[in-house]
Amino acid sequence: MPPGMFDHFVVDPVWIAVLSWLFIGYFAGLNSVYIILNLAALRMIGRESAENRLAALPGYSAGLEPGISIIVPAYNEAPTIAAAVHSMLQLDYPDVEIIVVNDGSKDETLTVLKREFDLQLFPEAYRVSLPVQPVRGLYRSPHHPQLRVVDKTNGGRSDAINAGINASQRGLICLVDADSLLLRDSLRRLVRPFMQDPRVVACGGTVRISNSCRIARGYLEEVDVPRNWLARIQVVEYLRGFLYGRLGWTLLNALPLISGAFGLFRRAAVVEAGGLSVGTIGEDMELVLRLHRRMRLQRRDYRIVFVPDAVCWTEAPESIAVLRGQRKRWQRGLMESLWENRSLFGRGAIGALAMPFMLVFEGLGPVVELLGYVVMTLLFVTGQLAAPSFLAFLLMALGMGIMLSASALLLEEIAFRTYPRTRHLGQLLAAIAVENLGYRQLNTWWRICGLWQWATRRKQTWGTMTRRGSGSGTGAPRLP
Amino acid sequence: MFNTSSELGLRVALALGLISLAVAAGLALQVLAMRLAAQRRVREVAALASVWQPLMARVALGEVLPEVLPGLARRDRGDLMLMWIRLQDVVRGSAHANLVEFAERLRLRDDALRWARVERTGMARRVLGLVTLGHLGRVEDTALLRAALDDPLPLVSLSAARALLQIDAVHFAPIMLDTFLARPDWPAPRLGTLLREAGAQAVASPLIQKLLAGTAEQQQRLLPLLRFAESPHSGSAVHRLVEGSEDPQVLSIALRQLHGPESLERVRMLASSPDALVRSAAAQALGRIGLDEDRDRLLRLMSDRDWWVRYRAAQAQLALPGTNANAVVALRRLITDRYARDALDHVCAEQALQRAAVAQEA
Repeated sequence: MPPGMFDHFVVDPVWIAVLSWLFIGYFAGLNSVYIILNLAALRMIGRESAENRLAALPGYSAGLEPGISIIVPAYNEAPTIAAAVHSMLQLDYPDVEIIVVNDGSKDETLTVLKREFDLQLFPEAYRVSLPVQPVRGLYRSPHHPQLRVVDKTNGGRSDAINAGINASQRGLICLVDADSLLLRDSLRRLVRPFMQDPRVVACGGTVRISNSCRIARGYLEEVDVPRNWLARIQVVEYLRGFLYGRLGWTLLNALPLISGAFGLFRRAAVVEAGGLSVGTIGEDMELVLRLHRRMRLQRRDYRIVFVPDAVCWTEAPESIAVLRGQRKRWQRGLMESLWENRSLFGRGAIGALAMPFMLVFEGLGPVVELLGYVVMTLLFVTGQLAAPSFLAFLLMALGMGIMLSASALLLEEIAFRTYPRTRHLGQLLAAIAVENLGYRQLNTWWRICGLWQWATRRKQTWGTMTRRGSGSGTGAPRLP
Repeated sequence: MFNTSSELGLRVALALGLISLAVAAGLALQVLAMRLAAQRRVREVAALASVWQPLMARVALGEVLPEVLPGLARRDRGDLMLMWIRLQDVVRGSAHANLVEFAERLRLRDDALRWARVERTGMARRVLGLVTLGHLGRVEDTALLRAALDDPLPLVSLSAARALLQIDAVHFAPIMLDTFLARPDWPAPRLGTLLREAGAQAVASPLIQKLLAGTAEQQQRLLPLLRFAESPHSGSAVHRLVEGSEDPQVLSIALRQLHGPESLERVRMLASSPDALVRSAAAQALGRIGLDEDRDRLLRLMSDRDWWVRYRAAQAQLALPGTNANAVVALRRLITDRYARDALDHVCAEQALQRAAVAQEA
């Protein structure tokens, strides 16, 4: 550092005190909410754990289960689409149809599907409930009557899903990414809230990361912790985001987000709400908030819930470039969704608690966090903040992050024990520590970039993802 | 350098950081300890299964239980009970009775009664207890099971329902139907499975009675269960609902279950109902019970404004007696409406695809 570079950076001690309390307040507030959500999740997860144990008891199936249309939007998914569809064809559910929507892919997606499933052009009387880009053709397979493929002009992910909704013939629609890998019992678990409570309009499942897992032809054969550190850290992020983030909000009927990688919706409610928003990048969150908003405005008794034991696996980005793009999109999506549904603020638990939390801590939080790191470092460098003080603030920021991640791992261990080997736990504990030393700060920066892009209204596109094409699920699920 | 406020801030930050790290370390240790305990438990259960499962299988086949039984630790009794339930769920007749005797000898009923009674025992054990009591089939346990029927957790109450139906299906089937109507959290597929287990003889009469006497909302919930109560009277119950109900939901469900020709005139009338759900179900029903003279009616429905009505009407056209390839060609020539033609092409292609799939399988 050149001598005298920060000579003019002199801060009044009163301001130092104000900043200190701002940062302490931010971290304490953020983590307090998470701790409360964590405790709420702990209560719910105990029940889940018991139900999982009882899954060993004989199942119930009477053929009265509500029908489900799985909608799979696909754009340039040639390496993985066949495996994904094979995995969906094996689902253990009595009444399910699979609708793959090829959104004008530039690669061989449609050719692969035609070849693999012997698709034939079908003169379907296509129903238009939602406006979409022109449909070029509909295909069916003589071997798999439950599989249908819609080929359409490119219009983006939301448009593709809306085209799938138009084609769907069941009362419930399950939105799944083309690189999602469902377990055989995933749908049975996800549909449970709809069967137990007629007020449920949407529910989301858990998304887990499949990198380094052994997968063959759409089957998950062996679970492993990713060897790549970026992906491994994302496992911890997903545990945090799904296990207590969503479980806690569910208790208050204030779940703000259902992942687009695996969510189940009442078709009529989605059509009535106008389908997925084509102009929004965070279409999953926007749809959920719009459903909340419409239901509240119409004073309807409804539930939007999260089902932690309904699991779908997907591959997480392993390169900085892809991860950066994903996180920027997520941040823009978050802000867009909150802005589009701003009239929901203050209405019910979703508008009075979840949305302000999302705005302050998830939306604007990265700015406060980055400001904290920068200001404290500058004060320390210029000698205005003593080393113990600087270290105390760092300790607080990192310690709380580590504690919350460790508690997510505890929830996972109590309820699911997904990662079977003891070494997996060691690897995840190491990832928890590493996450807070560089990754988190990098993520904060990308989120600020996303915030900036939202503020300057940059155009949205399909997210890109480096495909491995190993027969495993690949992709980028939305906002964990 | 610091005023008092920032000194305090420093202390707070330091304290929060240290406490968080200490809690994190504690949580990490707890996770590891839980994992080790779980692994130990898996080994113990495997050892338990290796001793008891072959023994239970031999007992089920009629072998006399030895005088001296292998040791059974208190903590293993729940896992043994689960193994016993799994076996009970797949055996019938004398094997079932043999396993009941086995459970009596091991005093599994005492555990089951204790666990089923106490709410704070945890849901898993409570359900194990309830299911075990059902398999044991003792009438004196029904009071306890009836109390569990009111449990707010659906899994607990449905387990109690299953047990009660196992003990006395004829007596408890009407109670289960009443409970089902009072509890929207009881999924129809779950109760349907229990009713199927209980048998149509026990279920048919109370179900039909409640169906005919119920409100429209109750009829909507009960009608899908009728498939588990096939009896000479179930067809006439559907017929009566089709003839008497004005509720579109009830009509649409009942029309889907209608098979006899008794209600043909009413179905024809319902084909022009203002409700699309009813029109679509009526079209479907005409495909099953309609006559040649219904073709024009179905042709009109194929131009309906609702997609499902058009689709069902086209399906019904092809299902009417006497429909062959020539008739379809003639029908297509008759159609001037684009939507009707699309619906017909759709259904024809669907059937061709089905025929191709059958041919390939053959």
